[in-house]
Amino acid sequence: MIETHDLSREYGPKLALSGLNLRVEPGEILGFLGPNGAGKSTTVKILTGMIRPTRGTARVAGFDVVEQPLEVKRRIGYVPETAALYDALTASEYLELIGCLHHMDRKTADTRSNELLELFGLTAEKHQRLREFSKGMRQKVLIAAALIHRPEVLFLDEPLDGLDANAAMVVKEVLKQLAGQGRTILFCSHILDVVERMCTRIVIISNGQQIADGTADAIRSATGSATLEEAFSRLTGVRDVARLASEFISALERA
Amino acid sequence: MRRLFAAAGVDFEQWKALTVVALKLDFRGSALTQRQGEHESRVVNR
Repeated sequence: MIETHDLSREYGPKLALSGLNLRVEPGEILGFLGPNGAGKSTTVKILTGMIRPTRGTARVAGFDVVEQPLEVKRRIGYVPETAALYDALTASEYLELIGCLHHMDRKTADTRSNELLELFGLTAEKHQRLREFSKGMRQKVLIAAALIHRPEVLFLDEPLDGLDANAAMVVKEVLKQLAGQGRTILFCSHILDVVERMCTRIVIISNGQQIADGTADAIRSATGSATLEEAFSRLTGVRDVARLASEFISALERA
Repeated sequence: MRRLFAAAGVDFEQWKALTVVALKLDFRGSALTQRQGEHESRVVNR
């Protein structure tokens, strides 16, 4: 479970996150949306213990992220938007390292590593160095690393980025099954149709503040929109996309 | 050894895993640099 109360974070004079109150139950896949710079990554960084909030509290899997950060880190899996992998390691060695960091015994880590690499179709490449991997293959390794210790709570920041259609389908199905087992998933993405199909609930933030919370249907009907994309545009400030695009094209033609 | 690490607030297993990886990266990094250097010198000697 994820629970925040009045969660806020300032970067100097800039308020990146302001008074976020959030509760995500076990078994839920929460779509966490917002335009660029809205405060999504700041929220995820606080919830994963990477940065401290300047105000408010957050609990993940029953532990306070500031007071008990190690307990939190033991129970979470995190796929960051951008990640640096150890390029000189093989996929198998990288997953072994992650297993060791989570205090898994070598046999269990090996078994799970092989299962996950097979799931993502990387068995033949498991002894290749990560520097030889494509962007999609690296993303698969990152997802495998987030799942290897079977975390209670998953934070996924654009997890489908770079994946081909087949791999994306596998990931979506895995996430649904993990939620079915009672795991809590926070899913950040800009691909709104994926969010709409996958997530049981959606929270939208803008300028560091929560501006919508509900199912995709509820958000669409509350904003009088036909699609989640339209609702997102209305809520986050871009009201007339067609007019904006026309003005842009006219400006290009004038230049 | 473990007790010593624990007293210093360092998780021995994690330290060991990261040290092994750091050594691998170091050796492989220098092996790669050496190979690249050899390649460059062959190109220069042509």
